[in-house]
Amino acid sequence: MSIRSGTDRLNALLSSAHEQLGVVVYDTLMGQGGPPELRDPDRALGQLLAAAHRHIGAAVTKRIAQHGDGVRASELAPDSSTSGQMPVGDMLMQRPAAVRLKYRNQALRLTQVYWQQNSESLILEARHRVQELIANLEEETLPSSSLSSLERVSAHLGSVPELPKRQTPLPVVAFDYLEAVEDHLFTHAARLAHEAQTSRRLLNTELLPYLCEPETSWLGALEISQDLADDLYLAHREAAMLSRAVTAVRRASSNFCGADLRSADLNSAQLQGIEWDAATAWPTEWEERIRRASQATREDQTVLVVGIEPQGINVSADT
Amino acid sequence: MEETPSADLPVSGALETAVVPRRGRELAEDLHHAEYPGLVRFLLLNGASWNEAQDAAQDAFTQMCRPGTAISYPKAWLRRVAWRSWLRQQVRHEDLCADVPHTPAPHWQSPVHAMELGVEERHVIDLLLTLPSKQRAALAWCLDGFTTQESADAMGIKPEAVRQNLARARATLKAQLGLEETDKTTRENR
Repeated sequence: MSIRSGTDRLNALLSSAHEQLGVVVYDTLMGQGGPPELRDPDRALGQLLAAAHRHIGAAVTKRIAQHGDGVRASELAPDSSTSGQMPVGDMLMQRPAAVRLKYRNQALRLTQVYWQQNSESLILEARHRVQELIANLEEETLPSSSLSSLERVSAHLGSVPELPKRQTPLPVVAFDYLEAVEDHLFTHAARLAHEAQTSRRLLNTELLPYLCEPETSWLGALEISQDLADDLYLAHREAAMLSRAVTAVRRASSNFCGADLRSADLNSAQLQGIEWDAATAWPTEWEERIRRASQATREDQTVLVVGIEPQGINVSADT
Repeated sequence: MEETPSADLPVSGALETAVVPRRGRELAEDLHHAEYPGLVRFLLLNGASWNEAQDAAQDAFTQMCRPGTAISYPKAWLRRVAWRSWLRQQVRHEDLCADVPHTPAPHWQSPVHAMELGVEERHVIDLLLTLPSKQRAALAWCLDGFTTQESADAMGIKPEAVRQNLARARATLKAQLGLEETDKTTRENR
């Protein structure tokens, strides 16, 4: 063998190894289904976004389907609004039970912030006093007690709280449960505060000074009083709406009849005052404790209300 | 950026002829299926494992798709970028590679263990992989058909150094394969 043939032999060996390795790599890749898909960063991002969009859509559709019966039932209910939209209070009840339970404390605290006193009865009393005044003015009399009575009305209207500062930031769309709760309360509280202030301004700056003037026109006084009565009617209506909103939030925070709470975290939730029934599904480890801590409500024997906090119950091993 | 068009290989026609720079995204689509196996083989001959070669090859094509990339010599570009990507893999921390994605892989990682190859070819590759890294790289470029100049530009060394590495690699392989001894014997017999 010559030097030339040694080099040729090496070249032949290298060439053969190179070629065979190429065939093996190709066959192995094809055996795996071909080269992996080209990973274009833009396309990969697009695919990720499309997949996320698709999954979210599927999840939303599934959840809507789960609540479909409840939604249809509330749409058919006689007290639902004529526009066909679900009342906000019912919408709160439609939120998942585990979410309502998780944010129960905060939601109830919000009701205390927005409903510090019974504004509805205060404004109702103010309306009665103004109606009495109107009856007297129609008979062209003004008893001496009327002015002090109106001053009390002014004090009542002044006690209607001004709009509290929002506890949660103003949402664009209230997807978050607590934001939805506060949005619900805030809307009515804002209207009530506005109507109460308008009524009080009319009373303090126009009606009371006018009645105190030496020469008062009965007709003029009657007109201002009628305006005040109209304003108070609006304020009373808003107070009633706020009261209903507060009731709806309390109901969403306490009514867990038929709710599935198996996946809920009860360790951090305040359970006292929760209403439930035989259809409520509790986590297995909690069911017995909650059953022991509950008693039937007076109105409905099938509904139970959780009494003392179940966490506090320590059952002795001896009993 | 390292792989800018200006740093592209100015080769003179051996494997790739100079063409008007094309957008990387278009090239990647055109070349992906055809060039991917060759790229994996190139990396295997450089000493990469099967999984490392696949990762680096895929990474090279991904980098090719980057906006603003224009390439005149795509085959050389791919090998150079894939080779660097593989080198970067070597210095990664262990924990970063803890979660290896589940991908189908052959039962071998090094071609030395690929039973599909002939015994002789496996032996040659085994010897090739024991060469110093620069000699291995010079041989891998050469076997893929690139000229000395192309290899030198891609490896960032002078053409003379490539030639020297190639000569040393071949001499070592000859010696290990017993081809030199046969030559001596032949001369002695004359």
